[in-house]
Amino acid sequence: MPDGTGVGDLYPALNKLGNQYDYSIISCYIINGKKSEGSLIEMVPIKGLSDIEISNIINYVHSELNDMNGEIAIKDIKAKISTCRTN
Amino acid sequence: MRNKFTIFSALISLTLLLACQSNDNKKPLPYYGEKTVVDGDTIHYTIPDFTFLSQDSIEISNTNLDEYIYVSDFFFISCPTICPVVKKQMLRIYEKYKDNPRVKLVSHTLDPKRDTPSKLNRYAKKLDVRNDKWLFLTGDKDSLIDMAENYFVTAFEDEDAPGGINHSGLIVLVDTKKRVRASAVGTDPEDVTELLKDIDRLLLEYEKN
Repeated sequence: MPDGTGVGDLYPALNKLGNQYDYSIISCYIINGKKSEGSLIEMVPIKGLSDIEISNIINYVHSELNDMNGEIAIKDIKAKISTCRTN
Repeated sequence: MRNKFTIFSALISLTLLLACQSNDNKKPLPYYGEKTVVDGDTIHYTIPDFTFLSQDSIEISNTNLDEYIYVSDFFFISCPTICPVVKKQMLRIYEKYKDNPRVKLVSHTLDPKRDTPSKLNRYAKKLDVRNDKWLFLTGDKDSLIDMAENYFVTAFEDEDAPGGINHSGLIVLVDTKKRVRASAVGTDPEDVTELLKDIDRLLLEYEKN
């Protein structure tokens, strides 16, 4: 949802991640998708996004949806993304 | 004196405006699609007959909805784009009318190969829908795509589209005679707010009769 709220138990909320969330996990979900054993909904990979575009998404989730201070540096996100892209 | 006249004029204009809006809300909703005149009677477009399978593996045909007004949409479970947003709006409609015996919701999957009745059943439960107030229908793929068109919804297979199916997120309001009376862009919460008012207006038509 644009405001990060989920839908029932179907789509998890992105606006209650807490301080300890690992942004590298979200980066990898965007690039590779996520399919859990027995889960109903499979998140498909979102193809064609550049590192900068993924960084913008991560920082939007970080600061706009979760009201956390300070942006995550693009170089840090890029480093995490590179591990996802090679896996 | 001039100021008094200006205020008076403004009040008159405001009263007329509110009166017009009030009348608009009392007018019957329009009818979508082509109409024909037979022996002097106007026949409006209606949703063609159908038979699909519900999330409880029960055959649901158009006659099962004869007593109800309903809102309809098209989706598929693995749809990564507009479907979650539209479902949130359908959930708003469900929450508002879940205790109204005259209203139903009907969601059709466009991916029947993967969205089996049992999967649709799990999907419904995750939305906390545990009755037949909200039907999740599946069936033959071509029939579902044709049915989308009957509801003025664009839907077609497209290997370039995320999830392989391109479709619009229109939510359509249908009356007890299967006539389409209103619609909303399901990705636009404000448009759906207007649809909620349209549902109330349609319910009012039945209360009068």
